[in-house]
Amino acid sequence: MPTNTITAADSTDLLGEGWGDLEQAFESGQEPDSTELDGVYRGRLISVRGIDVLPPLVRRVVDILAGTPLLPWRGKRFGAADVGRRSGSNVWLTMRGPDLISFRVSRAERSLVLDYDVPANPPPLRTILGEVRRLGPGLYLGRMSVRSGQRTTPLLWFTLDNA
Amino acid sequence: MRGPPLQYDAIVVGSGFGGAVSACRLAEGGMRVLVLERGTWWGAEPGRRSFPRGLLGVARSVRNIRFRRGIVHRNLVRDPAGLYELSLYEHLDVVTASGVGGGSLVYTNVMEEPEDEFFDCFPQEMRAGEMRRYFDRVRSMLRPAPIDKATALPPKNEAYVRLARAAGREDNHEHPDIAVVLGDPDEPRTVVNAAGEVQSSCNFCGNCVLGCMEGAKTTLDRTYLPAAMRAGAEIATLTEVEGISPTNTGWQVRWFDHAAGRRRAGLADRVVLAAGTLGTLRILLRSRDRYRTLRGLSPRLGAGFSGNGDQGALMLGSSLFFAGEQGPSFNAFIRTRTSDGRHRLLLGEAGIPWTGLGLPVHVARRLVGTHMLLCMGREEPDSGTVTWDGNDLSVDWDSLGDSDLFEEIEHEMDILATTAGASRLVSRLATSPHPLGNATVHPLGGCGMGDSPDTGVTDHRGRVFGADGLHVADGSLYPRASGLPPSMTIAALAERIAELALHS
Ligand SMILES: Cc1cc2nc3c(=O)[nH]c(=O)nc-3n(C[C@H](O)[C@H](O)[C@H](O)COP(=O)(O)OP(=O)(O)OC[C@H]3O[C@@H](n4cnc5c(N)ncnc54)[C@H](O)[C@@H]3O)c2cc1C
Repeated sequence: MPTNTITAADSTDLLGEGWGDLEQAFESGQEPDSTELDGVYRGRLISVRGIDVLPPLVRRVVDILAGTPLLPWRGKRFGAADVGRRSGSNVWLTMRGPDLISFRVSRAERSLVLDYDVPANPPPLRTILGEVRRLGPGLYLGRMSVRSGQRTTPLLWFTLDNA
Repeated sequence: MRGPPLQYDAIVVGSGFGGAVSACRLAEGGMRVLVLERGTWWGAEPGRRSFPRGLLGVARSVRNIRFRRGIVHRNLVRDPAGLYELSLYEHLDVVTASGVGGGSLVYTNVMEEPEDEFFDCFPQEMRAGEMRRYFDRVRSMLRPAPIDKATALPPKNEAYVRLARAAGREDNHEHPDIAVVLGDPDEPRTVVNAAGEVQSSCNFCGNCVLGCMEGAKTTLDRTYLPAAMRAGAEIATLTEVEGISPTNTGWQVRWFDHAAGRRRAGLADRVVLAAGTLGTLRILLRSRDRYRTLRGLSPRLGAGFSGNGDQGALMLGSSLFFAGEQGPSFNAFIRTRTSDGRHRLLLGEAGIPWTGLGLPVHVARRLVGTHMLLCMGREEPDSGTVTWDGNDLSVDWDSLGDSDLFEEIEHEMDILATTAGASRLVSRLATSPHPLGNATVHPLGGCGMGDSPDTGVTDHRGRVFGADGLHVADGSLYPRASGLPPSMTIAALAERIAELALHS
């Protein structure tokens, strides 16, 4: 049995997958190199906590909505990869921006960490923590969690892609 | 995440000379091999796409045109299953093929072995003597032979011999080995080739560059690739690789499946990049500079690129020649050498496929006496560089990189044209309006073999420095131009790389 079970080649491969499968995909992902994410990446919301308890039809509607302008989030922009302290921001409405809600980029065990605890963000957003792993060339799977005290609770899954 | 992961011992990208040989030998050596080829199967057999005929057919068989001049940067994909790719850079046009069998589908069949000293530019471990057995392996599969040993010379060759004699170049005149089944053109026979496939002998139609409907060309889809499939290799068509990234245990390859209209991915312990010089450079540079999944590659990546000193010319109104279509396209040369006896250039007549183009009779009649000359020369090393411009390859090359060579080529062409009584010689056939522009069918180099990352992108085994399990096996391996048709050498290099990979 191969140790690596990544099979997603496209964000659409992950749509409709259960929370457990997404966790497995994330587990088998590779740690992005510290300089890997650089520039703008198209984002896609893959799953939101609790959605898998909804009936399939409702889930399908949410999947479809996730790919329409009704969800104005377009992706993420990462600052230059070769500078020491890296930052990034979320891109809204069009791939060119505007950019709203920023994060700091650092490395943790096997993931690139997106830390929203930056002064420019309103306090509720500062509790957000993202982790990103590479599924393949140009394709990343990310998990967003909220921190409260010692606990982090996963909230949603997203992909980033620059194919 | 539907279905089990696609997991292979080796994924081979491209099915041309480097890819077909690699796939065949690795599969015969017991590896589970997947070949990813962006093109489709071609030929007269059921299930294959027919080679183009007629001007419209040829125009329709263009796969894509990459136009990268000035501020206009476009890749117009006309038909992902098309046969020809035209890449129009600032000063260089590049014509390549796409399909199962790669360049062998449209090449002019010349299988030329370089002279021993050419291997001096390769890493120390590789010398001409050691390469001989790999050339022999290619020979026993493709069985190339010179036309004058196999059949009566076609009229166009006799005319070329006469021209060489009249131009005072008779001593330098030679017939190269060509990978075509030869016989009496009026009574074609069938033969079973080295891979057990049936071929028919050549009828001298002269349409080699449009693809051989008769199956007389000993192409890779009739030799190495069926042998690879018999050894268990899978060949996936219309699959265009976009990028590669390392995993804990090997490599992930991501490709666009043109038939399904979606991306797919597969895993392998090793990847062999054999997508042709520009194809391989595109995958490596895109992975390094766009996906940022390849780090630590040699700074030489993209350096040492050349068009192999190619130059084409049209000779108009010549009186010496027969109509150009009789016989295999390109099978008689004049060769010149440097003062110390090294190969300098080859110059021959490349038959224009008049019948295959299906020109109206009155147009064809006016074109009698129009012939194409094709020359290739040993360009200086490091004449060109390929880089990533953010979206695609950018090729920085012009004929100033070796102006002496191109002047010599013009001079030799002039002598032939004058001797042939041509009314006009249109030299430097290329779309670039620039006086330094040119065109090539032999893009080479950019992933040159070297002794270390300072001198090359791969080692003598084709292993990419700084990327375990990643190999290159195609024309990009050339450390410098040979000034000779490269397919035989590419195939022999791939034979060697596969053998060493199996025994490592
Ligand atoms: C008209 C013409 C005549 C020629 N005549 C001769 C001759 O007489 N003798 C000679 O030695 N040479 C000749 N050549 C040159 C010869 O065809 C090439 O040098 C040779 O085919 C190069 O071999 P290769 O393995 O490097 O790549 P190729 O044979 O070009 O094979 C590369 C393959 O990779 C595929 N590919 C590219 N990108 C991707 C991707 N991203 N994903 C998947 N697949 C991909 C391509 O479709 C192609 O099938 C000629 C070329 C042309 C165009």
